[in-house]
Amino acid sequence: MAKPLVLHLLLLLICGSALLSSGSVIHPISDAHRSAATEFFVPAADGSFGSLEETYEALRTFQILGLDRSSAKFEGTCKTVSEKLSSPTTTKDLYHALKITAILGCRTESIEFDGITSRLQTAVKDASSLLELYYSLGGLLTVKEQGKDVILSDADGTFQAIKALSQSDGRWRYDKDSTGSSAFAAGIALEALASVVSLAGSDIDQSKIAVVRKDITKLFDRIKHYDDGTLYFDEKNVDPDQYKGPLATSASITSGVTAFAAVSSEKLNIGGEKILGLAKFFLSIGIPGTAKDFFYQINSLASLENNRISIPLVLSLPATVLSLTAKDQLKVEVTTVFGSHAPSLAVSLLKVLTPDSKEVTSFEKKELEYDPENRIHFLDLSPLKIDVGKYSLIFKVSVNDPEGADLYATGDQIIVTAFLTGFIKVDKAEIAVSDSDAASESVQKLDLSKESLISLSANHLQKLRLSLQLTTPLGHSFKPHQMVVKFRHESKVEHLFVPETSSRQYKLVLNFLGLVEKFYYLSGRYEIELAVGDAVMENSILRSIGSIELDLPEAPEKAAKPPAQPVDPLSRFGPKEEISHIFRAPEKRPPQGLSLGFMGLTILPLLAFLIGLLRIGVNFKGFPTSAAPATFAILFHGGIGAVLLLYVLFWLKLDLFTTLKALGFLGVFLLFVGHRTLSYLASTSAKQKTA
Amino acid sequence: MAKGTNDAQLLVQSLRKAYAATPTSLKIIDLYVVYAVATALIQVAYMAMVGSFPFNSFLSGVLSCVGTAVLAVCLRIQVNKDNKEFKDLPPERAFADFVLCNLVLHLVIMNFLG
Repeated sequence: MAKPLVLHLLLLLICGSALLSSGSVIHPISDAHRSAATEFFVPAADGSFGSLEETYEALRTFQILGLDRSSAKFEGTCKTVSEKLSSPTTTKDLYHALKITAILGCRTESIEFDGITSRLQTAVKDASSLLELYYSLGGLLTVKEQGKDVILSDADGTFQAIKALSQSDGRWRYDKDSTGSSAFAAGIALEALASVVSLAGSDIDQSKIAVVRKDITKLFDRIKHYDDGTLYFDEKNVDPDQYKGPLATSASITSGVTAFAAVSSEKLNIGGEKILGLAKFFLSIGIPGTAKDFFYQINSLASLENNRISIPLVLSLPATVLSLTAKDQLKVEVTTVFGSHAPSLAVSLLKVLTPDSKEVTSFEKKELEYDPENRIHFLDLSPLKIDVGKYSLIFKVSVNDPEGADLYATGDQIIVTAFLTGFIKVDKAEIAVSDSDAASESVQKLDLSKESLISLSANHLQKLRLSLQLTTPLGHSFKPHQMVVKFRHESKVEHLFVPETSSRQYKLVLNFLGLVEKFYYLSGRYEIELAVGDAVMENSILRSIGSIELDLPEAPEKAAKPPAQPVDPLSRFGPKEEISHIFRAPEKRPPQGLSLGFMGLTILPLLAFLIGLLRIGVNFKGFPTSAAPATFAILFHGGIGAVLLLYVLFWLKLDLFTTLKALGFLGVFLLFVGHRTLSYLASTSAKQKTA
Repeated sequence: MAKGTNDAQLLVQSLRKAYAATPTSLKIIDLYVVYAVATALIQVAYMAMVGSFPFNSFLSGVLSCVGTAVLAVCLRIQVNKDNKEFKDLPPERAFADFVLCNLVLHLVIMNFLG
């Protein structure tokens, strides 16, 4: 027994929250759209926007938004289009070409409409797919709207052909052979059926139209919704090539349904809230991102603007941030989706809710006054005595004319978020330094409206107290989003503290004895900065209150060092510190004199040697006297001398390779010469011995 | 003690007389050896005074002296007629070896001198 009850309650809760949850901000189509359209659709030099289809979409968007289509560029378009119409092209191109001719108001004298009509009628007869039928029927309808006489021969048969492709769930197939059905195709089919009915010479059987109405009802059972009452159509992404997306699908169905509603004698069984939901969907896109999306949005809204089911009316607030100080009025606009004026309405503000969904009890339902000049409904806020804050406003719109109530869709409850801002008073701001036993206090009053700065001094045994009160314009105590007190040392080390709140007051008590370590034992001048901020506070505070000279004890050895302050990031491109290279200190050399002295001393043994040689009685008797051996002997001694000279040169400036090369030559020479000399000497001494 | 000094004097005199008998060529070689060693000693004394920087220069200087002294000693051994081992070796050949080895030694020394 309890279970169904619980389920019911759950459902109610869900529905209730769906109704009451606030949605995205919706505004009707405005000049922002128009300027965006001119930026999006930029025609090429010859006046086209790409393919024929893209040109049609661009021109249709311009037509709906009321943008200029008479520029000289588009004369070229007219010419290209009329050429297209004369040459054999696909039905799709014919359709787009005819539409462009109609939008631009091109001269139609040169166009052979009879030929085109017969081509389209053949296409209708031979059509095998839904799209073929759609384009050919659409083309015929455009030709008829140009004033030409067009009659569809087999209207019933065509109607049947289109109807045959429908599915039981309200969707349509693209042609007989395809198995998958789509909602996008349903939109196209409905538009094609509407064209058939318009083109039919004799009336179509009403029962058939009634069947289609039922199909539409089934189609609308598939509608999806967002929490804020926005409705849309979408399909499963089965085939990425065929998947159109929610915007295209909803746009197609909107065009189809509104077209069919226009030709159906009886009203379609679709509630106004569904139309309003679809309108909200298209408007909530804002300004779309691509040209195609733009066309879909604008085209669908145009078909909704003047549809026969019910015309959606949109409530929007030109300003959602209202200032109590400036005595702003709550202004509300109710217009059609394109911003054109609505019929006579009554707009009432039912409830005002705080962010935690509680009702502001002091507020009773009020009806807004109407300003016919600016077409705005307004309400004075000051007599309402609502305090600053963020609120959800719940509106209800009702059409004054009871007959008109059926024609327009206004929605049930419309929820809008608004901010009421005001000037927050700062009272009783005080800052005081007291001893730890709270015996004496030196209190200084802070006047935050003036630019004055206070200066205090304290040591680590004392306490600092900062307190203030914040009051809203209506006298209630105010709790801001953010209140921070910052202490900044001369060395740029910062510490942040958050005051505590108690009843009406904000108080910060700093006991320096406990904070000595947090402050890194840095004594000196600290600047005190106060920051108070909130979304609804018009006079947020961010300023320096003054400074305090803190005397803290010396840091013990193991104390934490203050964090390194961020270095200016651009300073790394400045000059770097000078590098002093440490070269190997040159060895201590002895004084020059000493070295030279010893060099002289080294020569001494040589002199001693030479003197000794003389004393021994060395002689040159063994030197050969005859010519050839003498030469060789001289050359031998000369060779040795040359080698020694080569060594000296090697030491002074030559390198090993050159030396070895030279030595090679000299060595060979010396060997030869030496051999000759020494063998001569040997032979001489041998002769002496034997002799 | 006078006897001691007398004996020393007698010893020195007899050595001198014996030495005077050596051939001139050997005396030349001996003088050369003494010259080379004296130069080496002076270099070592210099190094002792000013430190061994640059060490390679010191080594090359000292080793050139020592090397040439060694080669001269070898030459003396080979040239000495009283030496039975080298009877068949002509002194010119020994001298040629001496010259060649000296030249190679001095090349290496010059390279190492720096």
